[in-house]
Amino acid sequence: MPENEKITKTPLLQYNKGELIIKEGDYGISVYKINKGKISIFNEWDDKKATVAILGPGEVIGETAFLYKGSKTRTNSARAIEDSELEAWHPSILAEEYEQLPYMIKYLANEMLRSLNRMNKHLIKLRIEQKQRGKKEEKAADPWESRREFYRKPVNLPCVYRPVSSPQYVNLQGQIADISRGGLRLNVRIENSENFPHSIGHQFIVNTALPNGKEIELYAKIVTAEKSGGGKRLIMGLELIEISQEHQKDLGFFLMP
Amino acid sequence: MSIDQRIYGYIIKEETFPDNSFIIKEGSIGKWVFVILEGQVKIKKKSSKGIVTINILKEGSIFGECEFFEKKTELRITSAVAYGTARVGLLDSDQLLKDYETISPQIKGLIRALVRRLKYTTESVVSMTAKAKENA
Repeated sequence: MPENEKITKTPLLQYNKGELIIKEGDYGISVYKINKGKISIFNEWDDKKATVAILGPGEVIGETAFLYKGSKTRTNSARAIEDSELEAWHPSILAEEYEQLPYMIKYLANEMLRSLNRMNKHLIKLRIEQKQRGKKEEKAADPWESRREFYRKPVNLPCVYRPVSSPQYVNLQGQIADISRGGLRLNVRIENSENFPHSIGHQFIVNTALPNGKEIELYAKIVTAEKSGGGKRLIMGLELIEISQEHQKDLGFFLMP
Repeated sequence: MSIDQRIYGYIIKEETFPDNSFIIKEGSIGKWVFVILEGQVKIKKKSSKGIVTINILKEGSIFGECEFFEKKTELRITSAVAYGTARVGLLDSDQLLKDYETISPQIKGLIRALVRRLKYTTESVVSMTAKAKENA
């Protein structure tokens, strides 16, 4: 099949911010590539939600159900967290190509699928055990849920961050001046804003280690930005957009007065 | 599980590891992919509550493949330790890379998504195992 024919046959799908694309537990084997926007991949069990990943342009979603050839339901949900455009890949063309993979690559992929299967079974078992330990205990252990105030803790934490849309090797440095469950204040050198936009609305992926040694990663959006230190520094207020459940808990513990 | 002749075609070196010795160390740099020819290998990962065994692999199983599929050099995300005497084969990375380059961008995307998913699921298992230990 000529290359351009493939492209014209690829349906493009538009999703508005907040729209659900894949629902955990449903049947479906379509695979999607993200052309534009941002998609949150998450898991829900009991009344908990865990963000698996936040994916952007070029990344693929829906691969697991496809690789299981539709014998399993969707293992995660996917939701657009920005207006997004997705490219739906034709499952039968993809399946044909997959079958024709070089022997060793296919062997490796099948091995990974087997490991994934085992890890998933393990995870389900662990979640059931956790549930049996009692919900009460869970709630008490989750300061994030129990705190209603957005207590801001003054800190002086070095961090690395990068704009969401930039390649992974971009690592800008900054200091976190305070942090709460809703956001943080970030103090950076003005030079950082020369190559990458640091204006209101831009999103960063921030990585830091809390004083207790826990490393956290969070997605945040600039809501305020002002120069300081004679124009040498930029102080930004960032609003938290996404954080994994684990990191949310670690941060919650750290914020306990 | 007997090992397919086609796998032997990819093996450039065989090594035998005594019980409990490291074949791969978590946090080190390396892109070699291994296949178990004889014996068993434990896959371990560090957690907040010590080292956790997450998988025990048998003959014919592959390990170290996650890092192979990453575009840039990544640190090993798990350790692989011989469980009893283990004989392993190192796969020819150049040949694997050549094979990989023949496949379509769609399938590449699919495989990378699988790697990402496996990594995440492994992380979740490790953190939940640590949590279970904490509450035990």
